[in-house]
Amino acid sequence: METLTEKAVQSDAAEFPAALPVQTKKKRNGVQKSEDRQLLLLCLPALIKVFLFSYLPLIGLVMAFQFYIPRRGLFGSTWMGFANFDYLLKSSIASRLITNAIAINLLGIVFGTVFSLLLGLFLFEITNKLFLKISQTVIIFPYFVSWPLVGVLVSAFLGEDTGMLTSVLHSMFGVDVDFYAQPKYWWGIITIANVWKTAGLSAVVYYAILTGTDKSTYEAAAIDGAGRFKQMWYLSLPALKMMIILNIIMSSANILKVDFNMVYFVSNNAAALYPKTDVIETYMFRALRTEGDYSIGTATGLVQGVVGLVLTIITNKVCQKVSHESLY
Amino acid sequence: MKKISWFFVAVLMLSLVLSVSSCGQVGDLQEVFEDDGEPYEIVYYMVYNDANPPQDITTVENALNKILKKEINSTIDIYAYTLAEYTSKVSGAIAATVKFDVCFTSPEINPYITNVQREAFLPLDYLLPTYAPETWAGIDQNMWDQARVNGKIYGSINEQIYPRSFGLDFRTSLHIGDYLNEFYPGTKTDNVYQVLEEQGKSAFEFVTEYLTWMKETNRGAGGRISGLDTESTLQNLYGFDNLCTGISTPGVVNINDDTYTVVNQFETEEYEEMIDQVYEWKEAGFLKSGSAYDITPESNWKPGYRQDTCVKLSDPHYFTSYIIGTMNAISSTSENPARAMKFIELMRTNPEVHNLLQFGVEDVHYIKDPENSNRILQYVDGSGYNNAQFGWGLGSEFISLLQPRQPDDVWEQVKQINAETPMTGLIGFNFDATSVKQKIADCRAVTNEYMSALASAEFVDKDAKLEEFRQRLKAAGADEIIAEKQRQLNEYLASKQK
Amino acid sequence: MKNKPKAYESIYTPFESIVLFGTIIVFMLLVLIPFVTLISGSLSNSDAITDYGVRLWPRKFTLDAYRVVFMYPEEMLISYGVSILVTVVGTIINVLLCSMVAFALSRSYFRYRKAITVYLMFTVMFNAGFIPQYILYRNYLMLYDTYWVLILSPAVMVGHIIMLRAFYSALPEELYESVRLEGANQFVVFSKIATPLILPGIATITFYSVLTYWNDPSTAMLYTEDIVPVALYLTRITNYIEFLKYAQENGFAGLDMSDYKIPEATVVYAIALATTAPMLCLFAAFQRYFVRGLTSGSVKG
Repeated sequence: METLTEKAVQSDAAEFPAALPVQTKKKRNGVQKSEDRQLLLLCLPALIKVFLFSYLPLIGLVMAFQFYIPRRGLFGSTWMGFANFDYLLKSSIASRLITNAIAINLLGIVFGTVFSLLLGLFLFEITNKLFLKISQTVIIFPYFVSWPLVGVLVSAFLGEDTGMLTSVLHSMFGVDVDFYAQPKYWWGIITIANVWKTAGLSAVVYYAILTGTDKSTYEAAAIDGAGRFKQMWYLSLPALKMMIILNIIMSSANILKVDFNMVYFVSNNAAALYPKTDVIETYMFRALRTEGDYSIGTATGLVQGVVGLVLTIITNKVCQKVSHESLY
Repeated sequence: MKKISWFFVAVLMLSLVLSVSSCGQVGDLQEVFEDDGEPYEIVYYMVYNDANPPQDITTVENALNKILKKEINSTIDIYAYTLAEYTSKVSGAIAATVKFDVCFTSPEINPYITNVQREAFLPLDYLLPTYAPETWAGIDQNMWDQARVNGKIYGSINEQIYPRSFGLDFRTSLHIGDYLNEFYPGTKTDNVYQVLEEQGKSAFEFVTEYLTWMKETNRGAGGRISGLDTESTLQNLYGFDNLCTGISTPGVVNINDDTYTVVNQFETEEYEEMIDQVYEWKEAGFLKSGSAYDITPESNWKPGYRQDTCVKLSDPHYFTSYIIGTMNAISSTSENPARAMKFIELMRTNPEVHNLLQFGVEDVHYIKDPENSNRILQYVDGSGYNNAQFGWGLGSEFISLLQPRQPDDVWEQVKQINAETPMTGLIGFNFDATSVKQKIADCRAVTNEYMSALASAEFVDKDAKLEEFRQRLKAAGADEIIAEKQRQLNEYLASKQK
Repeated sequence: MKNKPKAYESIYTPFESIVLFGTIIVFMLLVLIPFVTLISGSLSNSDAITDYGVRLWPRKFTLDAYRVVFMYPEEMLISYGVSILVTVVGTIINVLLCSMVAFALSRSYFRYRKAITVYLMFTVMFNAGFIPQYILYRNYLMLYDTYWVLILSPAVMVGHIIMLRAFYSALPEELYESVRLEGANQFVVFSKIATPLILPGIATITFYSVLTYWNDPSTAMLYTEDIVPVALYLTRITNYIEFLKYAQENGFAGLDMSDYKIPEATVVYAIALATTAPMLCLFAAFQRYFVRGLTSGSVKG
């Protein structure tokens, strides 16, 4: 859910300038007023939904400054000031959650971009219609799969006794690796799963953008004797440059946000892997469901939200510099 | 931008409304409740110890209602959650202050201390003696002390086996039977440890010899062990009591130590011996394989449990964490705590109630042995209810029907062990972790990384990793935790001597 | 794809064809192998795979795992029913609400355009997190264990609004101006004029929406008990296995955790396939419309 939204925001906000002149300053006549009313009415159901489901819970953020006791409620619990944040920073929790989130995101950005670009550029060079169709269908396929299923796929490879990879390592190299007990592999495994699931779709998007570009330059280049890979480097890549840059900038605004479903299901929520797989989302989830430290869980969420907000404002400024257009 | 602030005003207004509705100055938890005798529906969050929730809980509820109506003028509404889901479901209900009456609690499942701290459970100091006299009288005062948090009891302890012994499940009755016959004639799985003691052999030596014999006699599958379990080895075999903080928190007391010195379990010789042993097995090729016939480190021994293959390898001992291992608690959202307490008492005293919850309805969910009315002949396949594995959470195990493979005197054996095992001076001591909470979280993060990997010989460079482990524990504040444990323990011991 | 490839474009040097086709084929294999493994695993004998591990070809072919899964098919069928209901209703609501907002936001003369955009974007950047949300949904909105929580909680996805807004904005401005001058009602413009023209966009969003609803395990994991969509059906089993493993490794004081059978891997594979295969086939069948919508959506910008 999260990735889809963000992906869409990333790819499309980057694509579509929303900029058309707004005429708020002028005095509005009766027709305009009734139009405004009608349009507002169209927005209303969505606005109400968002208010109820996204704005109302914000009140609960006061928990981050309390020791929240359910029966005493939000305003009867003991106020703690910044003690929860203090606890987070002094213990190793905050640094662990933040390191993991940044590592998983950075690896995802780097490898995701490299692979999807490579595939997109290569697809663009393919002229065989049938091959194009089949390869597009296949590489986009993982995007339709749910994260729990990806989790099962990962376990079919890495499961302790039954996994394909573990058993091959055991029988051919005599190496016994219990992946689900060794955190050190998991940044990599999560990244592979991430790239596996999403690179195909991004590749098709890149491909789609390329098909929309002007082909005459390619012909000219070909006549000048530029090889296929030269064309790729000097013509196709620059055509995608802006989108790539914007994508990267926007992902960096979400550097502390990790897709909960991805981490939770790919790692099977295995406790032994928390040193490398625990991120703010999973920590909050556990705080609610097992460890019961509502306040500290909420505090981590608040930190994430504030950092995200600041980063978004910065990246929006950067994007404006880069592309001369605002994202929102 | 004006419009945005308008929305924030709305948010603020709503927050005010909510705060007014939820404020109503809540006082401290009440302790004394009277029962008005009116009909009442008890909401019971029960553990359903199976992979999937039960399909047929209505039949059980109906049967229970008949008894409960008569005994305590109540009806029951059961929410059955599997152990895997239990903590999260109850934790969710607690977060949302959902009204319920009775739930299961233990140090890890639906964690006891956490819930007491967030005022989810009612103190039972008045309720227990008043409405559950048999439960109150049936358990030693030392043990009740173990359930105290800041001086008050919040959980009703279930009657089950409390002392624990170290045991290993050898999985194949054929092999271990042959082995015992050949080398320890006349010895059964449950007295091997006595023979070993006489011969001056350690449990590990026994296992190594067995594994060697398996290899030499070429008996095929079953000749390996998949590592050791740190908690049960350190605790049950070496006798380290972790003072209810779990093995991953540093600071244990050897129950044979008269000076009650708190030590770091990961720096003891015993821990090193255990790790060395696992690596020795690894070198000899005894460690790990995927087969279901290999020795497993799930290391609890108790009477009647897999008596053909589970070998008892140590004396039983009392440990603080096992006393409060399974309890029932009353929710602070309960509208009739006195009635809830009566229900808990019934689970312990009324075999009908207990067995309905555990096995379901006779002839619908299980069939009794015609020759022994106390024994179950078989469970009805696909009947939709079978909570047989949850006897230890339903008041008292001792009124359970005998399950198909349990010996007739299983509960007598358990009672005997409970009675004959000497209590240690530690029972009744509660460690208050508040002041070192953050250090404990840090240490746990470190232990998670090393403990089970060391206990199953995953690291190549054992010594370096062990040293690294210890260094990182120190850096995470292990010594402060140990000092705090020692300080509180000394205080407790001093107060006891008065 | 309007540009017809010139003849020279389809001539590859051997090096080029190896790199181009090779890379794509390798990636295709990487995509397919896990699925093959899963299918093969679900058709293998469970003892054989514990001893030798899963391979690309079933080891000791058997349908046992499927027999276990389909012994009591009601539960899974009910799950399918729940998922279909939630997906259909949820998608209708989401697409309707999103397109209404997107249309309004695409009108340059709409006074609250900027404010509403910020209002919506803020929720993407900043949210309260699981805990306050949980308490609110369960205590105040009374959504616990209802279909509504599954339907409403993912609805109004901001990404969808932005995509749709782009589609609406791409329509020629003159189209609107003419009807505006006639004083047409905005609702009529939305439903009769604008929306029919961006049906490819609506189709893409519908597709995304179906995907999101169908593959959303976390909402159900948090908020429902008796209502079990297929995504949760699989999740419950994997969670249970993980729990048992944890229990066996760490031990729970006082609880006996050793007498539990971890469900066989083959059965898990079979459940995974049974819960996802039908929908995957459906997606595979319709994916070219999805790609087409994606393509046209991206190109228009």
